[in-house]
Amino acid sequence: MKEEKIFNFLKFKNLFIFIFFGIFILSVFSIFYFKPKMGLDFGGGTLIEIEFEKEKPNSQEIKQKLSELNLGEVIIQETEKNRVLLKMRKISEREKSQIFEKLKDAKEIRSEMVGPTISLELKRKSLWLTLFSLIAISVYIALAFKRITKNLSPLVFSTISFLGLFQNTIFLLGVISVLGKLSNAEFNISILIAILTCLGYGINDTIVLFDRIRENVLKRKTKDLSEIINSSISQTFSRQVNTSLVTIFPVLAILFFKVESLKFFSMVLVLGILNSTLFSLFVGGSMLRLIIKEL
Amino acid sequence: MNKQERISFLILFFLFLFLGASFCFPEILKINFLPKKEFKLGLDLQGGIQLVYQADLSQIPEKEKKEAMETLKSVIEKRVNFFGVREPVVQVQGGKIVIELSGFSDPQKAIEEIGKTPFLEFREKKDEDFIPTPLTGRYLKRAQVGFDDVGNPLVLLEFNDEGTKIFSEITERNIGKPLAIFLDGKPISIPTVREKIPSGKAEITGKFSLGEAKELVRNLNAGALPVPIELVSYQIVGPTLGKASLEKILKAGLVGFLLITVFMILIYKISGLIAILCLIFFAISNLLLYKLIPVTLTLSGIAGFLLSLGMAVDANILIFSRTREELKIGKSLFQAFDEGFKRAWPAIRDGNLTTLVVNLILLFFGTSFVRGFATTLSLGILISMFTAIVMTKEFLKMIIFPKIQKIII
Repeated sequence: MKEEKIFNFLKFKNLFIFIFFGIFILSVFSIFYFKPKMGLDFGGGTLIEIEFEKEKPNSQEIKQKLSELNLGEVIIQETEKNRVLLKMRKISEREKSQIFEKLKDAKEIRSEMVGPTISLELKRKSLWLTLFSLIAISVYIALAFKRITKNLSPLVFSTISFLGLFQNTIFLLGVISVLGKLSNAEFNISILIAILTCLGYGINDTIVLFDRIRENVLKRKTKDLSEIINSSISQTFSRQVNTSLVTIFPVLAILFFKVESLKFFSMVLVLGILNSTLFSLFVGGSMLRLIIKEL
Repeated sequence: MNKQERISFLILFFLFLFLGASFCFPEILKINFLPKKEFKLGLDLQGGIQLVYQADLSQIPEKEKKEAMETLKSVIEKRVNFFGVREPVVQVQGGKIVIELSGFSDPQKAIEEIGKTPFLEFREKKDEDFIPTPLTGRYLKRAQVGFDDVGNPLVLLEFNDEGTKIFSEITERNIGKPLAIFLDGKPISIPTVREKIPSGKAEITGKFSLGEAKELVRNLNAGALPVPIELVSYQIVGPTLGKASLEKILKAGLVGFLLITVFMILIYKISGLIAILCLIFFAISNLLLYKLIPVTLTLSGIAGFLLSLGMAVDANILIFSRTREELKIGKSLFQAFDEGFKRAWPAIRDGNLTTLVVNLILLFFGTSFVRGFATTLSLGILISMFTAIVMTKEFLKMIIFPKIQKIII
């Protein structure tokens, strides 16, 4: 029989919790300071990606050519070598064909339009579905972890999970706000899906940890909660890391091969999964110890 | 399990892999004896158009809203069918109509044709041609299905006051002659006028089945769209863009799979290898189902599938880690594995269920990006519960244990 290696994670519990809330506060700051750039899904409007047959004119020239059309503010982004992305208000088909007349040898690569009814509906749905997901997971945890001892109630487990999920959501919103400033990332449905998926998947590590804590409590080898938490984290450390890694691998590959429309989607997935793993490795147990002093 | 059973298990396993792979990728494997079925690719991968129209139902009484949407759908389906797209999709989603035209690359035309009001007109015969009369769908009050004396279905038309006047004039000058009813420039029925009709009521007799009569009535009532519609959202993807995305994500999938393989074998040795074999089984099963159900594969859908590859292996990692622990406290290999599977199960179950629950919630968004992603990911999670747990277990128990006694994890 080999000696179990137990690392004293709880020694740093205050630091871990401090960092956890630090990230939360920074993210809140990022959201309000940078503000997530609303994509088409939530903001509405029209997007057209155009490929020029010959050399592409610069943004200024394009703006000039389109100025007579009364399109309101037109945002122009360069994508690939002969391509540009135009973003503007919701326009009619007639206005769209006028754009192509003005720009001459330009070809439509793709375009998208989302009217105000749809974007409003999606906004409303997003709020509800996010809330609903958070609650559904927390309730599930509460149901899955029945009361083990007097103090270790399902409510404690699900409260801690909820805090982790909520922080992760805010963290990822903060990330997408910063990325909006740095590289034009937009907040749209695909990003929200990535965030919600991180919640659903990210909780797995927390479940692994809590499951182990429950088991160790039931074994009754010791009555010291700190010892139980420390050994539970130590025992499950490598599997928490490994499961997250294998799930991140294919997502990293998507990032590596530059699938344009999944770029920020993949980034959010990777960061969200990492953050949730860090939570269950370092923060979840610390919080449990902070809330409950003894079994 | 004796030797014979082991061999037949292995043969079945690899036969499934071989047949499955051949069915999924006949071109790559150059195997042609299986029935052919293509993957159904979404708009973003093969190019195409998605249009979303909002119907204005404010003037329609609550009871008739559903019917109005069905009528609208059938009108639009008719128009869409003219485009010659292989599998046009027209769906009613609440008060919205979603139209998907895969592989269609003329958005201008699609939007024009769908948005314009369907045109019903009566034409009279002049020489060999049918020439338009002033009577159009504008004057139709309504159409309904009726039956003649012997019970054959027929279509009853009723014009409004103005239409009644025009109809009576036209019938008067066309007695004994055919009068054609055209929809969008195509004749749908050519009855013969027997007498002048002053009542504003007409019937179209013919060899209708009840279904045909109903359809015609629907079309006639839809002479004008039953409700005004507005284009509220569209997505147009050119064919080249779709193809490029597909190639990239397939490469990504392959590399992602290889990363997982190397990692698993490095860390979990032979058990890891078995997990990968089961992962291949998992992948083939998923792809098979995509073809058979069929699941429309979008970029997000493939991303969901790739994510499910990683998640499927998670179960194996949890099991193997647990097994190692059990080995450490001195259990035999066989016992340790048994214990590993048993003890890892609750965490695997809870983990998968929470992911699944969120996925199902996502489906309420209803947009195609979400639908693609949530469908493949949910399917993956469900299948992985079988392949990563039951299958890996049987594989190890039946094939490996009897042969190799140590260093397999």
